[in-house]
Amino acid sequence: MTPPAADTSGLADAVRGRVEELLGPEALHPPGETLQAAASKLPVLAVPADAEEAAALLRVAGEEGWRVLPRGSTVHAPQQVEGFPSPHLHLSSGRMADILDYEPADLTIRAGAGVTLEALDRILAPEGQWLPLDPPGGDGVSLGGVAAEGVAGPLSAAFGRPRDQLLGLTLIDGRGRILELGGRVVKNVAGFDLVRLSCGSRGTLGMISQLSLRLYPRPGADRTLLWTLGSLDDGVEVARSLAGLPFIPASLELLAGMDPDPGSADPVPEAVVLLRLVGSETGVARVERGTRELAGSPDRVLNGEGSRTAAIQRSTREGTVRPLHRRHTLPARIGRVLEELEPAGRPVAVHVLSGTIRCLGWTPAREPSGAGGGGEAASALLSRLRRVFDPEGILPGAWREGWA
Amino acid sequence: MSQVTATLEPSLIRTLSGIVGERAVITDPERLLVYESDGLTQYRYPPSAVVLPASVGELQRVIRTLHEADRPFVARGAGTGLSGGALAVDGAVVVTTTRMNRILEVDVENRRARAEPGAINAHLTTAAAPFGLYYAPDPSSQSACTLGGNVAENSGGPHCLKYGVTTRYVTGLTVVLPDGELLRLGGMGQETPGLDLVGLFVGSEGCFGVVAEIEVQLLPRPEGVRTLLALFDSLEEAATAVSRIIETGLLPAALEIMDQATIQAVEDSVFAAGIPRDAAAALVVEFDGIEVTLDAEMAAAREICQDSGAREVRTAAQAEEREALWKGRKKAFGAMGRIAPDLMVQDATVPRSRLPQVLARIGEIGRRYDLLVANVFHAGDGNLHPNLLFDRNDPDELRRVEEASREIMEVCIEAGGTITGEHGVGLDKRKYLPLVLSHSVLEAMGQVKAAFDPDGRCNPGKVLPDEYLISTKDPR
Ligand SMILES: Cc1cc2nc3c(=O)[nH]c(=O)nc-3n(C[C@H](O)[C@H](O)[C@H](O)COP(=O)(O)OP(=O)(O)OC[C@H]3O[C@@H](n4cnc5c(N)ncnc54)[C@H](O)[C@@H]3O)c2cc1C
Repeated sequence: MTPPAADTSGLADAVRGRVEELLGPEALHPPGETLQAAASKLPVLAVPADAEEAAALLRVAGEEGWRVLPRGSTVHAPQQVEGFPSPHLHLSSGRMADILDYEPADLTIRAGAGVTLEALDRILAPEGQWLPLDPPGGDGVSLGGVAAEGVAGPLSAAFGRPRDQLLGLTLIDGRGRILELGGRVVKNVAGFDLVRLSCGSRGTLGMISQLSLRLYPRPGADRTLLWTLGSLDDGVEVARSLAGLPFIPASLELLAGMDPDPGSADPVPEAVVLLRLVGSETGVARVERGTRELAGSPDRVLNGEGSRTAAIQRSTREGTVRPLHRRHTLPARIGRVLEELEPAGRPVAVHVLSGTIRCLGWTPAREPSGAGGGGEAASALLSRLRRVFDPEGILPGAWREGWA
Repeated sequence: MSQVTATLEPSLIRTLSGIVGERAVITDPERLLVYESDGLTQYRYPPSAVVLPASVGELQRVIRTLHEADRPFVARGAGTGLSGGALAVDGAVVVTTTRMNRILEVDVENRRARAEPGAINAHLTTAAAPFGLYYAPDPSSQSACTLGGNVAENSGGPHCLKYGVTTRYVTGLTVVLPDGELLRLGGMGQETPGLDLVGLFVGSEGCFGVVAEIEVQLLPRPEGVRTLLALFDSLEEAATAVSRIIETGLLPAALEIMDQATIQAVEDSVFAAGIPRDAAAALVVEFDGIEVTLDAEMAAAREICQDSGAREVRTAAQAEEREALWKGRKKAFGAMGRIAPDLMVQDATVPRSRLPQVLARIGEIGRRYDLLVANVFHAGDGNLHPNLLFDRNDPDELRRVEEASREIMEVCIEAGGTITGEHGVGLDKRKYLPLVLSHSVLEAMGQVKAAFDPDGRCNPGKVLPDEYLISTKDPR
């Protein structure tokens, strides 16, 4: 279908009127008004109370040809890809913020998509459990957003990506179907894996209203070792030797051109390598000894809450600095790709074990060499798959990372 | 539950022979019998032909030829599947990967490996071992099953409790779509653009195309391992110990249970592991990781077992003891062949805190239907495998097995579980799928299948009930 003409406030009023008529003024945010967002011209932000309401809105959007952007509890403005028109309707999970089912003995939880990581952790901590996900954006991001983006943080080194913690989710697709996918048990192969397909689909298949997640015992010890290096090359070298540890650390990061501890008055180092270890005190101490043999004594050690808070600060910064450019490679090629990117002192954050490189606040001059696009057959397949969930093309997905 | 052999046109046989060689196309009805069933013996569907390509190029040409001839086909690995997934419904041609069995690369620095789809699961770990690495998903059938089959089923295994199932480890796939198109998804450190097609392909049970090459992540070998065997006088007590271990915050590498019928079958076989035959249940608890942490974890687990009523807790002190225990556990399924000619294995998963109640209900159902039920399962994941033993030549027993199976399924679903944790839906569990998935979800799955396979020729008759297997060629 051809996209509707550019936004006019007249259309926004019509959309708003229709949402109010369908679901009442509570479903609009702020109630009765439209949201002034910098990225787009007067979008209407609807906040449906549940999956049924979201489904009703998506069905109307399909009939009317409104472009819809599902989003989380919106700590960050979405980054719109150039050349795409803005959506007519933003659909937030902000009112779907309840814990629906929590049985600590099962190490699983079912929660509304609008629950933030921070809110979730407040529920889990007293039970001695945690969700080891630290996606870019910090802990104010919503679970639905984390799943929809599917982007992993440094902890994926040990615990896997968001897709690996998802046991099930409810997707309301562009046809307005409420699809309850997966389940709440830790192993489930009943039918095709539409949970994995939804994870990382960035709102192009529909809106996520709730999810079931796998949880882990909260580690007794949480320690971050920091090595400060004089050059990016040295940083790459140290990161590489630590990557060869015969243990899997919680995370291994390399930062360049960035202050690992924005509070301190020290000059910004050329490069910092951060190794985070979690587990029992004996285990962490043992691995710590092993790292000294490989990389020498760390320059600093953060413990417990300090280690945790610093990690959240790093992920917050990685998720909020704009523009953001992300690249993937094999861990052994990180040094080479960094050379290609030429950061020259500009901030870079690398998740060493997954080979994820993030340029923060700048865009590299050169396009990646040999980045796989999948070719024609892949894009044909992708559009067939998209049409399954969004035949009218109301979920254009012109959105970059950063809308959790 | 069987079909007569369909035949293939001679011209098509000639074309296929031209691609893979005459000896790699099987049409002799006697030799086709080998391929008429898989690990589930009650279904038999002789294929119209079996083709054995030896390379990605051959595989692609075979699939393209079948596409042009409008022939249904089904990919097959080692045929150890337990849901009838690799059976040739509709006179399908079986495309088997047994000749594509090489480990192509072990990339030590990046901890990745690439393999052909017919490579045996255990061979990958053997190839990685000299570098201190291994491949984590370890189905009990790992000495026979293929990585292609593992990808198709999203297989699990005893150690998936701590490490997760196949999908977590697959970093890239090369696939041949049903029209013969070759697609590279992910791999080499790249993400698939747009949507997680690797994630979607894993667990697609051969219904979206044929996996032609697999890239996986390897893990460093844990520094130490400790294994404990706890014996119980009731199955429910063993299950209670499992729930408590999980609840306490211990994360063992494996938590496996064998009940008395299983223990006896194992002890009567060449895989005897020295487990007392009078124990009602044996629980294997294994911890791995950093050496200095293991003794404390073992002590905690031992205490929980004792508090839950274990009559004896043994530690496998030597590597040989541990190996014997695992051999017994992993070969338990095969050992049951000595008790009855046929066996129906269930694969439901339930929330772990519900294990004791669900096991009690399963025991009751077995008694009510007068069936021998042998349980051997991945308890830590709540993944049950009640094996119903029977003789398929006894129609009344077969009927009771069917009815008991359905009741067991319903009990598991009622407890918040699902119908299959790792074996897949295949042919066997299609009829149960609507018990756990709504009409809309089944409809969406049918549409996704059609996005890959618009003609409905790729592994026909599997996973979805017929009414959801749409083909764009259908008039409806
Ligand atoms: C004794 C025993 C123990 C078992 N233990 C476990 C266990 O612990 N955990 C577990 O998960 N499973 C277990 N299984 C089940 C089985 O081994 C797994 O499902 C295994 O992954 C099947 O692999 P295969 O090579 O035998 O596949 P097959 O049985 O040949 O095929 C299985 C499915 O995969 C598809 N397929 C095969 N190759 C390809 C390919 N290249 N491309 C696309 N599709 C393909 C087939 O079409 C079919 O649908 C066990 C089976 C037995 C007999």
